[in-house]
Amino acid sequence: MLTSPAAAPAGRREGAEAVAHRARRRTIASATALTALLLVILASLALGVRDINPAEVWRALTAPVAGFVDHDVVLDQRLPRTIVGLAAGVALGAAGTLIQGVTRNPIADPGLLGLNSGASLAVVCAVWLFGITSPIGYVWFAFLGAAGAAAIVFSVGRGQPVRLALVGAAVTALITPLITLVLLRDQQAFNLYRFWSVGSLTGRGLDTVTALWPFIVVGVVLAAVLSHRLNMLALGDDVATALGQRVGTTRLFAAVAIVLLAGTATSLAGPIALVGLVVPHAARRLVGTDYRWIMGIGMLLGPVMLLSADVLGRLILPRAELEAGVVAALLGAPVLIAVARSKNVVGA
Amino acid sequence: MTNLRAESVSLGYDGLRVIEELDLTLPDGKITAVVGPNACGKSTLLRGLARLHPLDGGRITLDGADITAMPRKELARKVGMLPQSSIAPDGVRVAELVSRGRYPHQGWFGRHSSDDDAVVTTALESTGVADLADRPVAELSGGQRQRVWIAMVLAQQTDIVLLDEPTTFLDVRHQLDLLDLLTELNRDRGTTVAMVLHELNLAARYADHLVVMAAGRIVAEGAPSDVLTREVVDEAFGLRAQVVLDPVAGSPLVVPVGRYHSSAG
Repeated sequence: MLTSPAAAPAGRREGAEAVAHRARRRTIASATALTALLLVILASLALGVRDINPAEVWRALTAPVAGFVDHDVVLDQRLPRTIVGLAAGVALGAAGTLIQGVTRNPIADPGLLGLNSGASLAVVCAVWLFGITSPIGYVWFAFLGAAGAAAIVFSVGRGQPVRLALVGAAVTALITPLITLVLLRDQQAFNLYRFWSVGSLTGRGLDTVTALWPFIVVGVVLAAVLSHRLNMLALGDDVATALGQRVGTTRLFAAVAIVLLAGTATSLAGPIALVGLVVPHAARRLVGTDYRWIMGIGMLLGPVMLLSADVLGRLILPRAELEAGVVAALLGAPVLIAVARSKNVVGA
Repeated sequence: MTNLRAESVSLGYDGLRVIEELDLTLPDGKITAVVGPNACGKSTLLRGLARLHPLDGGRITLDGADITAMPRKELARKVGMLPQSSIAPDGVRVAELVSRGRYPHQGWFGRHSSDDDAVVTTALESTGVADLADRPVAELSGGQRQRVWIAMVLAQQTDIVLLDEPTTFLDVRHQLDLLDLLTELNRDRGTTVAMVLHELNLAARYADHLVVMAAGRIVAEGAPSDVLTREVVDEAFGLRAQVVLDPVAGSPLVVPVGRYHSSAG
């Protein structure tokens, strides 16, 4: 066998240390992400425009007194938005990781595939044509719109990264003026769209999550199973195929999972920008290039980012709130710029 | 003994035939090199053999069984292939990339067994990249990177390894280095190696079995000293050349003539 110039034994010892170091790093990253998630859930329940002391928040959750305003605020407002944020955040983290993995495109996110514009068009049409204005009514339209747009993009794009991006852009370009057309015609649709399109966790009842959670569960399970396949796909379609992967099948299941996850997230919280884009990059920074770890950490960081955005939005302005979608964009953009500036832009 | 064979195989792109009814058997336990001018279909043939390219006709068999009837993972445990279009994800480290070669031996979540670790270590060692195990692949030289990819294919533990132009982009020293490495794999493990090569003289030196292709068919095949004649070079490449003996290896050495130099003697 060929000998290499460097002394092998020293290299190997270093190797074992490096492996242990990375394993430690992954454990720390998982623990940190999990702790951050717990903290942000607590913050989301405890903090808001209305000052409620933590003990009262705890009582609201354990022994609520009907009609007591503090308790009602916690149970009817903060708890639902926390659960919506949790569900949408997990879905966005997983969907963003899947999209970037399957397209090998570091700037892919649900918006790239036309999902957001599809959902938006369906929502404004629901208001315009059927007068539906309650969240539990239009979530289904949002979901179908997202799924429809994604179906078109995936079937025309045939899983090829560049083609997907082009078709996604084309579909968005086609849908955006249609949305405008409806908004110009219908005052009610315009009013609802103003708030929906920003992306927010407020004003949704728990019934929306109750209606949509099975989609998230199926999507999350699919995403977890697919994560190891993304590792092979990252080496190129040919290598993945040569390693025994059915690349077309992987892409198909990934597309289904993306539609379920991103479609549900958009239905629940509106078109939230940047969470699906930034979270996988942050996860890569923490745990490296293995998609099984990126996926797991991404599913934790998604709700961390979305709920932090929501909580910050409650605290930034005195006696008023900023929508989570706005804050998420404000938080996400600097992260994205940092990723772009670093020499290690991860392409796959 | 595993025997990969193309039987009357036709291959093409979007209805355009590149290869028409071609027969080829890779000699078991030998090194086969496929040479030919650009666009003669040599890479397409190799991709067909690895089931990376759908057949328009004919069939490819492994020990007599049609490979299209086989689950892909099962095929990937028997035939390894290093395509030209491999991508090393940014930030990926050598050992991690090589361990992905274990995929066809793993279940859904790719749980790593101690068996996998041993195979990966052996693959790293036999390609001489063990000391680079923790380095990001992106930081390596072209020659080192190619060794890492070969280590990944070795981790697949297949009896047959196909390589599509593995020496492209390497300087002459690293080309020899890589071909030496493949020779060692062939000798030490009995691995059947088949590769597409551009460099005629290196192909003639390293191959046990040389396949010369032109326009989608095989012009000649056999031992390099039998195959690589002046006539075959002219027929396949449209190239006037002299064929002499390689003073080092004793294999045929093609010396092209060109338009500005006369071919005296």
